[in-house]
Amino acid sequence: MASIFNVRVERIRPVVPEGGLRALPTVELNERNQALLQAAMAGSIGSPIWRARKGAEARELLALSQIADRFRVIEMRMETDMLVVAELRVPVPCLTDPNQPLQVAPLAVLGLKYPEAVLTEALPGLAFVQILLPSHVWLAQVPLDPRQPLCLGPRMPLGIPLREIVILTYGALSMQTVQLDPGDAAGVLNAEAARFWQANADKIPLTRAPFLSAAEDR
Amino acid sequence: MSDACEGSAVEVLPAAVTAAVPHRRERLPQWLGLKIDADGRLDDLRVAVIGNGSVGLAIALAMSRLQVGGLLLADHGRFKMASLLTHDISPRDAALAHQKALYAAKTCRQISPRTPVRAYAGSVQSMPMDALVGCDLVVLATDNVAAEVDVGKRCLRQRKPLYHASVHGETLTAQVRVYRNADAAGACPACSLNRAEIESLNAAAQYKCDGSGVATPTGPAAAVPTRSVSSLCSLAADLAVIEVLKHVLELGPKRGDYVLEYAGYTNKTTVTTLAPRKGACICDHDTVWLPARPPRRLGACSPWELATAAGFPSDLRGVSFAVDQLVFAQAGVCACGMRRRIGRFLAPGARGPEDCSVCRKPVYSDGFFSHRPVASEYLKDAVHRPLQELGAVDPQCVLVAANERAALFTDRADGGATDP
Repeated sequence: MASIFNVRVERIRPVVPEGGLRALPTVELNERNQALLQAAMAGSIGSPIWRARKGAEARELLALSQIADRFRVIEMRMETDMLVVAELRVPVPCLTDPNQPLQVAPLAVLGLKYPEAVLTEALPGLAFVQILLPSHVWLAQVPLDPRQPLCLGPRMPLGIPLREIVILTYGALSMQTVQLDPGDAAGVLNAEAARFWQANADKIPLTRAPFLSAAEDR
Repeated sequence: MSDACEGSAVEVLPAAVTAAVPHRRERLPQWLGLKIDADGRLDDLRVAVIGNGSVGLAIALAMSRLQVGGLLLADHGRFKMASLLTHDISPRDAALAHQKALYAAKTCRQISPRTPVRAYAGSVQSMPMDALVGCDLVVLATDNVAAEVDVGKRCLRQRKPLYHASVHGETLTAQVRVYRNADAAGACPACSLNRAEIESLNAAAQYKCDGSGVATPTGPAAAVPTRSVSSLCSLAADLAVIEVLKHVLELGPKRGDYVLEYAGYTNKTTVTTLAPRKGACICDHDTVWLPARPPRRLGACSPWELATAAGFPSDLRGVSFAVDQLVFAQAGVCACGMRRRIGRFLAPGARGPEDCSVCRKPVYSDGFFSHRPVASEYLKDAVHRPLQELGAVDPQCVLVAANERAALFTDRADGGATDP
């Protein structure tokens, strides 16, 4: 009998459907995600149009978590605004102490907020994502504020779907999409981090892996 | 009106004009087919005019000449020298760059000292929830799609008739769209938005980088002036006022939602019925906000009391609360990064009542854990505590909602147009 210590356990990675993100509506939710969706829908309140929209966004987000190896929904609530706590496997640069070297965390725990106003207003890029973990994120789009909101741009298009927010977040945290010029009209929220990354442009992006690729093992 | 948000409400003091202003009766005609007491109706009529520019200013002045029962005027803009070309103002007023809403309010008071007038010199989106309470109808005269959508939403929720006056200078066209808002089936301004207008909606919003809200519009989208001539602007204003008069005095045939359009090139006037609500409209047509009076002073009421007073189930299942512009901060975070429970109504991002027990630094409300509106599930036991104990010291209005029905509680007898 082979020793259990010789058995190599591999994480089961999801299969990306042929159509990629376009295939999201056809993805059948697994039991866990179905239960998550039902629980969230049971508490969903608001106008019919908003309840329907939250349901559709939630379904799509859970489907995304099934085809994306790097994204997992931990908790979801839909009482008023839609609130999602999710895990995103993406390198996140952190600077705990300015005298210490930069550290890169392997994942982020995100607080995603999808407010009803998104239906009728073009909301600011700060309105949707907060980095709950790790702390001391060192990016130009994240202010030096323990609340750590992530700025995705001056304003987001009206009715932007939540899946787009997640993908934009991946781009911003991995620095695949980056804005480091404090003089740009879009501005930066942490000028010091912007200067740091301008001086260390060779380290950008932190990963070239596409969102739907297999996430790096921890 | 609350002065908590950008463009605080300004109370207009009574005009210094002491001379006796004649009563409207001296000039009011005996309308053909009039079956009601026109004087009484106009005495009771309270009108909100949103946008006090080249069209809206003329509407406000016409309303004051009718000596209506109350006026609420709102505009975030100021006059420029170019305003002289389309506005009924003097070169001095243009040069002084008066705030449009204040100028309109003062002028209206001078024309009709007996009309209570309130002015709101800020963006319409930042007006309090109850700003239109007390108004019988709303006349919209902005050239800003975001404001049109916002006002359309407010009127839909409060089931207030909306008259939207506009011009298309290039074709010498003046237009008035009338939205009755009698039920959810009718159209709203957002129902007819085309792709270009949706794009302009995206481009119009400007936000402060500190996350504290909407910035004063300064960009190119905001700077686009009305391209028209003053005569066309005043024509659109006059058409809107006539449609309001017909509605209020029950003159002429009754119509649903329609567009009245005058085309200068052909000298033709057409009336077209507006298509009903668009299925994919971005606005919620179903929810109705009914005005309600709190059982006692709002600050002394608990959320539970307000909900039960509005007829919602006492277990508060599915009920949410919005208090002024405040958020309910479930938790906050301090400089050391620790999250602490707050459980109070606060201004967005504001400091909580207690400091961190570890680092002794202030705890600030955390966006992800702050809710507006807040569901009763988040309030937990706090639903039985008076609002003033929950951080809302002197609330002006509270919206209690459950799905399609909502009650808008306000302490103000007339949220829209009262005289100090």
